[in-house]
Amino acid sequence: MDFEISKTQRMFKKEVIRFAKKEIVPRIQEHEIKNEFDFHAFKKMGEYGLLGLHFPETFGGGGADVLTTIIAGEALGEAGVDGGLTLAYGAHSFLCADTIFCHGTDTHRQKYLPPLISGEWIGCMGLTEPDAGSDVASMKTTAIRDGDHYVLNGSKIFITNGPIADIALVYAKTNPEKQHEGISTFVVEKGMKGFSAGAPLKKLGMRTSQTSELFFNNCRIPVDNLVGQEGMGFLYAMQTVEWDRSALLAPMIGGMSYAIKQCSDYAKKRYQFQRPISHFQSTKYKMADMKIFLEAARSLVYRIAWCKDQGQAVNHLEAAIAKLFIGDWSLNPINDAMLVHGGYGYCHEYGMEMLFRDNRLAPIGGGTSDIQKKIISKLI
Amino acid sequence: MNFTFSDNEKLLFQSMGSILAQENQRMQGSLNSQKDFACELAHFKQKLSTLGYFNDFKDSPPIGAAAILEMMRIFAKFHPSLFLGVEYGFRIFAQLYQWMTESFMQSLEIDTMPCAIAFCEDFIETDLKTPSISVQSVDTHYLLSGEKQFVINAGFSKWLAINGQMDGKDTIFFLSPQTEGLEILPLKNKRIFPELVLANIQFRNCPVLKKMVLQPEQMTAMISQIQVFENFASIACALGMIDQCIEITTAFAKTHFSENKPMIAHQAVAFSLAETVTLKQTAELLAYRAAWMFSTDHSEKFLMNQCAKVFCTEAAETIASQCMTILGGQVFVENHMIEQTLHNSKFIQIAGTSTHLARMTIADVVLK
Repeated sequence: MDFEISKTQRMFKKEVIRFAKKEIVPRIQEHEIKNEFDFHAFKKMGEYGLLGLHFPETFGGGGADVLTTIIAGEALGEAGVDGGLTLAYGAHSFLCADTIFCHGTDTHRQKYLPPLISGEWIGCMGLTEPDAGSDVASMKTTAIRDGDHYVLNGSKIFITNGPIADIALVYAKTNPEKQHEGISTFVVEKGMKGFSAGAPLKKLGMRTSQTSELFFNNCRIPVDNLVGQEGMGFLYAMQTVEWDRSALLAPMIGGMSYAIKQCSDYAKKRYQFQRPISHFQSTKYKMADMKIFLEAARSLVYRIAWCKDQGQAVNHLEAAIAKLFIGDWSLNPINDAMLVHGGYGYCHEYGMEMLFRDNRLAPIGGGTSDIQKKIISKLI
Repeated sequence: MNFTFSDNEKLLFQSMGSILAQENQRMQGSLNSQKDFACELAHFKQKLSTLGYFNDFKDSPPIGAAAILEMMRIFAKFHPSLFLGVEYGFRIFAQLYQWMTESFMQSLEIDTMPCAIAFCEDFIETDLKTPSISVQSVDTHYLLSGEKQFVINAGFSKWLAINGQMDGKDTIFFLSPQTEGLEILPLKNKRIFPELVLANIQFRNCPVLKKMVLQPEQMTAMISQIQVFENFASIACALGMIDQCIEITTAFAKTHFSENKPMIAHQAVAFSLAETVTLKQTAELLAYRAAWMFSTDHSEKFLMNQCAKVFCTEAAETIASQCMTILGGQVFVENHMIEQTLHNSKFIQIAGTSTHLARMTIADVVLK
């Protein structure tokens, strides 16, 4: 066994942190408080190469391995980038662009990947429906073949980047009689007749990411917009989920590093009873628990990245374990980070309440903790 | 990065599994006395040495440190009491060697008999810095008086290493358990590791040869080194017991029926098991990483050792507790493995660096 990340990866991580602190972090509070997406920061991420880090250079990507990509996500969190932006990045680069890359045609790749990688376009993925969350197979949205077109009808909900997306990767039933095997995947472009996005939803956290419903009302899309094979959509979605449980978890790991640094700085400066609160054992306990969680969680996320780099097929157990652990076990240490800051932790300007709110999505998004337990218990 | 064991290491685990399976048949009901236990420790020392079990974490190729930890875990799963006896009697005691000259080591005449470290006292500081042993110099001997607590293998060890202070210097005295004036008081009715021999010792004017005294310049570093390996023993013990708990409980949940279906088909049971598996895999990864860091002399090796110690030993308690709930009433039988793990997990949380102290140390690093 060898847990070393390379010198190049360590240097790259530092560079991403430096970039994020300069180009993104100073803009977060302003956007977060207004519930606004930061288009400028997102475009900068594209220019810097983060949006397409793991895609081949021929499409404008960085050709990086999965581990390096994960490290970049971790670095964003560690720099203090909010969960909203990293969530938007994940939905864009992994849930949308990566599926096109893996299962789309060359025409799809050439058409969609360069503008997605540069940040010129924004992508989203439409899977969840009002009555089909964890139970994906019960989705109601249909895509019925009609000559050279598919006609989409139905709606999606909780779609990250929904209101701002230029393209949506949509899962719909081409055979409504079937369950999982009836699901197919399509690219739907903004402006296509019958396709619209709802207003941004008001959320507890992840406020800079724009989340909405997507509506399909007799939306006719060319058959060429089918991604991969008919009936394979569920499998594609499950493969995407691996990214959900690695690349999308990485910024949360980084966020814990950020919280530890913030708490440490604060606890050393904050005096109560004539001494810094860092001298109190209650504070120390919280700091230690945060650190222990961070190190435990980091190994899990790196392991999924390593498995993917080795080309190991769908690592359901490892991915579910990482998702469950980070989703459920992160709640206490993040709560502790806010408590260390006392009343200030409850105020927006210290960043801890944002981290606290953002983190509440961890046991819900990308498969709830209960779903992870279901997966794990089936595999033991 | 590499998250798998090499093929050689995997073969080694298989060999170890085969050996332990044979030993299991041989040992049926054989641990009836302290003497039996001592013989078994010596026996396992010999058996395991051939596999590289006692290799140095820092200099262990082709067996990596994580693989040694995995071997420790396999042994701990096989027999937690024997495992701790072997670890304290050999690997942990051996941490003293690097502070000894070659001639001093030769004078110890170490063989297959286990040894014991007696550092703990009733009112000692938790960092073991202020032992209250009194020492009097008489001709070729020192006369030692004092008490030590919770000494593992005390009754049958070849040597007892007792720490004290002499002339303002940290000192380790080596004496045989048969030395005149030394009384060994085994702890009776203990609720942890049933076969493990744990004793308090009292010594009144107990003679120690002057040449059997070690005065290490860096006592703190030495104690820290010992504690690291006590922690690794606790970590491996936790992982081994976790394996046992989950195996027993999963098998039970698959074969016992409730409301006409196996218990594992009930969501509450299945989800609880899923949590235990999550904790187990997280704990083992952290443990492997801690071992790897130690072998590579990583700057955070002590920090990670303590993080793993806290996480793994507390995970053992949580898992045992959840497994108990699934297994229900049948667990409340004396010496049931799961019930025993619950008690044992508290001991390994305390042994070495206690989880309280470990948290303080971790926080001190984080707050630097």
